[in-house]
Amino acid sequence: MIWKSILTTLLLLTAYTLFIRYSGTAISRTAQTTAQRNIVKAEEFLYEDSNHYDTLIVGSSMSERLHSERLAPNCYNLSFSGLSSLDGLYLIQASGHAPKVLFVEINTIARQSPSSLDLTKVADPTSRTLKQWLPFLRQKYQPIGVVKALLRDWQHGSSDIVAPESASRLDTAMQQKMVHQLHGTMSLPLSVVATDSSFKKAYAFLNRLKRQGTTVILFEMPIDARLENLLAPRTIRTYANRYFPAPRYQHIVLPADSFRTSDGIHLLYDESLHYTNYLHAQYQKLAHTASKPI
Amino acid sequence: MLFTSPQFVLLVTCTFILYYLPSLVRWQVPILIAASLFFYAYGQANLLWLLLLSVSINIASSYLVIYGKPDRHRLYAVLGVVFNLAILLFFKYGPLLGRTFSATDGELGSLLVNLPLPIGISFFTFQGISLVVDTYKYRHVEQYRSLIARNLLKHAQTVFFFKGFFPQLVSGPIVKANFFLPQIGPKSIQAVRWEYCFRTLVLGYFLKMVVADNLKDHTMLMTYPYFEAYSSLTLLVLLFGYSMQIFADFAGYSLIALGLAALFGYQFPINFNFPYIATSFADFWRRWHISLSSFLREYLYIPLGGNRHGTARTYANLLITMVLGGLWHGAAWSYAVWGFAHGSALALERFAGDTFGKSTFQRFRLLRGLLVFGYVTLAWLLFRLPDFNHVLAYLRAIVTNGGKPHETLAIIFIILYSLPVIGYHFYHVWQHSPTRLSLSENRFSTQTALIYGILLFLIITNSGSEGAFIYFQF
Repeated sequence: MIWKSILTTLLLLTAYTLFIRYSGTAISRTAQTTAQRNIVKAEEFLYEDSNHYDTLIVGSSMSERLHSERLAPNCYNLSFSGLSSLDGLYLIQASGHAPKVLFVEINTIARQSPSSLDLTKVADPTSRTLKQWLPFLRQKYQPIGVVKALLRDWQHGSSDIVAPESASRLDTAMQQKMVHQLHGTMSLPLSVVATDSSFKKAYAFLNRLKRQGTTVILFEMPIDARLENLLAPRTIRTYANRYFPAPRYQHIVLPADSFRTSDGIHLLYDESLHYTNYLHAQYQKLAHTASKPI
Repeated sequence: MLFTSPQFVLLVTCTFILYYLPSLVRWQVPILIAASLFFYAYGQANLLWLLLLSVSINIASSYLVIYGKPDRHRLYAVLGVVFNLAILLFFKYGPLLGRTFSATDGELGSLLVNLPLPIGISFFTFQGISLVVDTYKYRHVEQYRSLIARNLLKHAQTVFFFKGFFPQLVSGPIVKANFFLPQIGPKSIQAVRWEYCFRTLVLGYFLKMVVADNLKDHTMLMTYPYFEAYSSLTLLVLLFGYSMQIFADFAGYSLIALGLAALFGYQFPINFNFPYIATSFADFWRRWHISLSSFLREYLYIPLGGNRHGTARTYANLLITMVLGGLWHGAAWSYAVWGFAHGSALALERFAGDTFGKSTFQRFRLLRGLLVFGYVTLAWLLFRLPDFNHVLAYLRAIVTNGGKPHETLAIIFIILYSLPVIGYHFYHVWQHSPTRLSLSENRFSTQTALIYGILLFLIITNSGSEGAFIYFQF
């Protein structure tokens, strides 16, 4: 019985590997959950050579809503839900590829990533080698996710990227509740030790990238106007200016406009388009006025 | 160390090789003790002393119950139980007592609130109690007495192994002394039941890694206040999914423990017997976490008087047992409420049976099954949301959110990942049906091999993100 079962498994794995090989790029956007979307994105970035982009964005779920294709040509959004810029920076270092331009979201730099969303395993050399040779081990090719993607593409066409419902839906009562909750947490002082440690790590990553010729641009994602100037965001701005002083590091400051969010910190779909356009314009301005070309 | 981690696979492989080396046969038990210590210390090295202390208490008390002065046997047994319970109460319920009865910024309150929770303390404490009580109960039975070696060092080794054997150390099954101690002895690789090991391990890992770990990422949506934005249907499906998840997680863990123990020649009691096909609450508790419910029945409900002192006392005993059983799961009042909910259901069911006669309800098996499942599932909400206010908010949202949009994808995935649990229960029913009996043994064996082959394929390709077992926190 044991051998029959193992043989069945081997046959299925062989057939599935062939399917993956011949389906190639037709399989995309297979993640079933937010956590899995993070891992798939990290795996794609690390394991697929085609993902060596000129411009990268690192950040949290706030920056995940930016429209990378509008920000710069050949731009990839390496932002992760529930995580921070540090996770993206870690992956860039693990890839060994320095981008020409790097956008770094500062809002959540001091956030401690939960262990359940740990991306370091994706970059682990053993896992990386195994997953490159045996693609069925990758999260991207989980059969259930692949079936979901194929059904979606069959129904909607593979090129239509449907924005998540929550990105365009505004539940006012829920938004008020979330803002109220965030108001409490963001009014508390940040841990000096933890914040210092996170910024030191970011500094080490960015300093190394600068030496490799990367232009680093720090930016802040807009949040609800009632939260924008609370103690936590103010502290983060102070740290960002202290660790990454201008003009050595480029900064894009928040515009005067106020932005609408779904829950206090995540921009609604239209607003994220609007802010991406603002970032793009600022980026063009920086490129134009810089003494050295960016 | 998680059963699903590569480090654990490496630990089991190395231990297995050393364990069956012919030259090391007489060191088999010490090898398993060393592996168990490493397993425990890997996750919580700073609390290894507590495990050692707990084991020492049980070594001393069980030894003295047999070899101490006869007029003090009872005293030693009582002291053994009291010390076991004191450790459990201090470390597990200290934070709750600190929060409830003391100012958390005071010295005592702060100390209690910040106590670390040692992994598996509830499980190894209960096993310790079982050892002391069984030793006292069977102290005059020669067959049992012979299991408590006169050589203290040998006895210490036996107790250490009984309490610390790594497959059951942190989340059970809770093994009783009179079940496990007689099994201790030399084992040979020829006696390993490979097919049993293969089946339990594949099924266990499938339930944990494919079903529970994937459902976990979807039931994350049951977080306050986010769940208030979802439709009633979404909330009900999430609750259903959590019910499937908690079963797959714990039953999966128990099956892995059974398979691992069998690899080393030991047998653990079955912990789950298709609980979601139960047609009464009493039946449910004979099928769910069997090692805990039988422990509570044997060491708590029966000593309290069981059903021997009249109807009212029986109901009270049921309630006390279930509330304490609820609190065993965690130091939060919501667990006591959960226990109370189950105790009340058991008492009410007994009352209905006594009043109207059991045969009145025999006819509506399906309806009773659905009622039990619905009630049990609703009660899991107290596990998912330990803050009672959040539980109320969830229930309120189920009633009021009829018009909100559905989370269609989450609903589809939850149903999809719940199907194996439903199939698992149906497969059990089918196995006893005439259709199965008409199937030739050869054809059945081929079908089973194919199913396990598919399960193994899905473990490799479709596991969810790694997550600790839900019962680790208990």
